[in-house]
Amino acid sequence: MLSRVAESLYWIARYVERAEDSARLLDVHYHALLDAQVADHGESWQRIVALLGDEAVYREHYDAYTAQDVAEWVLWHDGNPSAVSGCITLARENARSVREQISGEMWEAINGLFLVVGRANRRAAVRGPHAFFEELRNGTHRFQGSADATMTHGEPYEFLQLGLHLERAATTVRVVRARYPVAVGLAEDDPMRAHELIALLKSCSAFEAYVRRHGASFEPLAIAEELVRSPAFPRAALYCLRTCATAVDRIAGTAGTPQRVFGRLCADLEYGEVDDVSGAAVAGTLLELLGGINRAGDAVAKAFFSTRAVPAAALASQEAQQQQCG
Amino acid sequence: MTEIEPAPEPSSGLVADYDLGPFFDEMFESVGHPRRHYRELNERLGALTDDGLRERIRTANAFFLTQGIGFTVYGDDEGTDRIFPFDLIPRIVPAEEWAQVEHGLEQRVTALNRFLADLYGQQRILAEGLVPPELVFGSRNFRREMIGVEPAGGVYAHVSGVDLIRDDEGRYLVLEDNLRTPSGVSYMLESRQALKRIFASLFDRSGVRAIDHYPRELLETLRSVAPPASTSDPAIVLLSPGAHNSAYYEHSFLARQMGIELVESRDLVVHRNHVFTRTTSGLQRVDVIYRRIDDDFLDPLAFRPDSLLGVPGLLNAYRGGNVTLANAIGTGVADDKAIYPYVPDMIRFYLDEEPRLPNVPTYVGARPDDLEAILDRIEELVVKAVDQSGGYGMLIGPAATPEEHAAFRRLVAADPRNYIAQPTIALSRHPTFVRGALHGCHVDLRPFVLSGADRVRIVPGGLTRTALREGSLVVNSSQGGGSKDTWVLG
Repeated sequence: MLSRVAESLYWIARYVERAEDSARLLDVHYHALLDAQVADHGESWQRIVALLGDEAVYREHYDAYTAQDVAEWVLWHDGNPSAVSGCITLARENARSVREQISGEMWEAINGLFLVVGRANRRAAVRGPHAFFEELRNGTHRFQGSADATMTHGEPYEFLQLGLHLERAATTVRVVRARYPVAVGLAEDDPMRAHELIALLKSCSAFEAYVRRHGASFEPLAIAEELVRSPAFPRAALYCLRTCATAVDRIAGTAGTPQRVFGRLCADLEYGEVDDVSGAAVAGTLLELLGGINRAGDAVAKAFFSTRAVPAAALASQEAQQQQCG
Repeated sequence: MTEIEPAPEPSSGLVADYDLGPFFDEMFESVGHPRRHYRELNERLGALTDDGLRERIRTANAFFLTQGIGFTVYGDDEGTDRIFPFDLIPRIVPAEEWAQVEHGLEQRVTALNRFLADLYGQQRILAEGLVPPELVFGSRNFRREMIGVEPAGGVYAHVSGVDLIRDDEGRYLVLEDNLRTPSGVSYMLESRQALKRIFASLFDRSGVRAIDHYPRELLETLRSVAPPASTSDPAIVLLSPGAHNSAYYEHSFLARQMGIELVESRDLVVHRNHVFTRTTSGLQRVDVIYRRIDDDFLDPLAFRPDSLLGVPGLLNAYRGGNVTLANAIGTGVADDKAIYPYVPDMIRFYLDEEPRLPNVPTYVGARPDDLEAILDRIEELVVKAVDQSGGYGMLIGPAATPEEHAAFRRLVAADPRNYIAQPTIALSRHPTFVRGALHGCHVDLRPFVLSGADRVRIVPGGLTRTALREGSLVVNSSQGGGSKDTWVLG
């Protein structure tokens, strides 16, 4: 299939997933703070901004970290390249340019998301994002579900899977990295500790899955294991990266760089030893993992989207000629 | 034996208040008396209640909205899509009338293709003095790069849209030829789809000829001109400028209907004089490109260097015969306003036949007798500078002031070769629903002529465009025009 089309499909999936993830994070945090016994939440909102992007860019537009400002920033602000509204617009633009590759149901779902964002009562959403988040999530799930149910599971579908799961893996790792050290930094008998851990689980839609497996005892290590190394929970990093590895296998057939990169990431996660569970050590390990996920994204782009299509020999020969001219 | 027909009953309701005006009306001979091929339709319209009508208009709008059939209007907040205005009442062309038109189209497009082959080849028509060479070489659409290039099958204009109008006596006249990248065929096909859904019963006994094989005919045409060295299953792509183009819907629609890849310039690369698509599994050879990009933008190395829509090296691959472009480069010289008056002579010269579809009568400034007529009758003529388009350098005599007449007389006298003039034509009208009532709106007809290496293919009918504004003669979709389904009877 055309590299441009593959790239558009990959980004449609990433943008849709990113929009849902950002909105969920905002929604969960907003409601978690309602229970917290703290007067000033500036610091915790700052962590949300940092988790979702670049703090310095935020500071260009706002003086402080208030719930309403951060909500506006995350949901709509034009200066935020990852704002929910921007992601949905980009997903729709990409979908329009590959309209003949996706099913009518998927196109309708993307259009529906665009309408949800366009029609939303922004002032109300900034004061309480839950209703908006629910509507958005219904739309993103409709898109992902209709891709699954109405599109041939061939190469174009695999690029959607690749984009979706790479984005999801990165988000989960970022969320754990930001929230885990805060939780383990609190004393074990501090009621806020459980509170923090529950917010961490909910930020990844993992609360019910965790409680079903471990009961309502919130152990930081068990939670981190569930979110990072579970082979079965669909937002766990390992699950997502394995899905990426499968997608890349189906796309390429023969082993190339992307397969190797994903294979190594999965193996490290699966067999790696964790002996230091302190906040700093876990954050460090997860930073490394995040680097690996970014490198995997680069490998995908290099293999399928552009570079490989340029005849390397022709390029080299032209470069050589230029040197003789100079 | 002559068939005896009962005198038709004057129709009632909607149709009764319809005003024919001083024009040729496609549907009615005189007030209340429809032409024979419109009688059935007239009865059905007469029987329709207001509610029934409104319901059908709603269905039509819903169809075009859910299918996402819109066109982009430039200068209208950042290219928003609008629904294409579609009119419920079909235009009907009887079989014998269409047979004449079809013959005329085939003859005209064949002659134009011969003309292009001649211009970029031996230039016999210039040597014979039938067409002034300065009109050809002075045209910005003449491409020197094409001299000596022989496109596969000798075809230049693979897809032609010939705009036809009818005068006050119902004669078909050619208004202009479109030999570059004519658009509108998706509206022709979708209009038929829409009307079938809304008025299914109308199609029962009417014997309307099908048109939905157009994409297949186009694909056959493109296959027939694949480079001789390509395989029996040539790789054909549709090259679009991208999703922001006003005709993008049509590009996507045709690619889907033909089952070929829709590509943009960044999907293509030229390597060793062959064209390839960039795919996830490497480079794939391309044999035929149905391009919907102007010559100017095709190849930044050959034409506009600032083009971001083109493919560097494409011209050389084409000249090397390794890829076919449809339409060929340089076809625009033959649909130039300056060349138009000479098309009837071309038909006589190349085919030794009399033209079956006449031009709109045209005075050519370069001809001394015509020049005199232009200067004498400038008040009643439309005068056009041939090197300008889009309404610039134009005088509409009946609407202009004496000062403007005098100014144009001076311009024409100073540079007669740069001007042509035509009488104002009273375009035929067709009943059309405008805000719930029936009005006579001016119409034209754009049939699509497909020229392959093997033969010419014409799907019966074409795109009927209506001027929806009262009295307007402009039928462009970007100027508030609409479309009608066009029925050719079998």
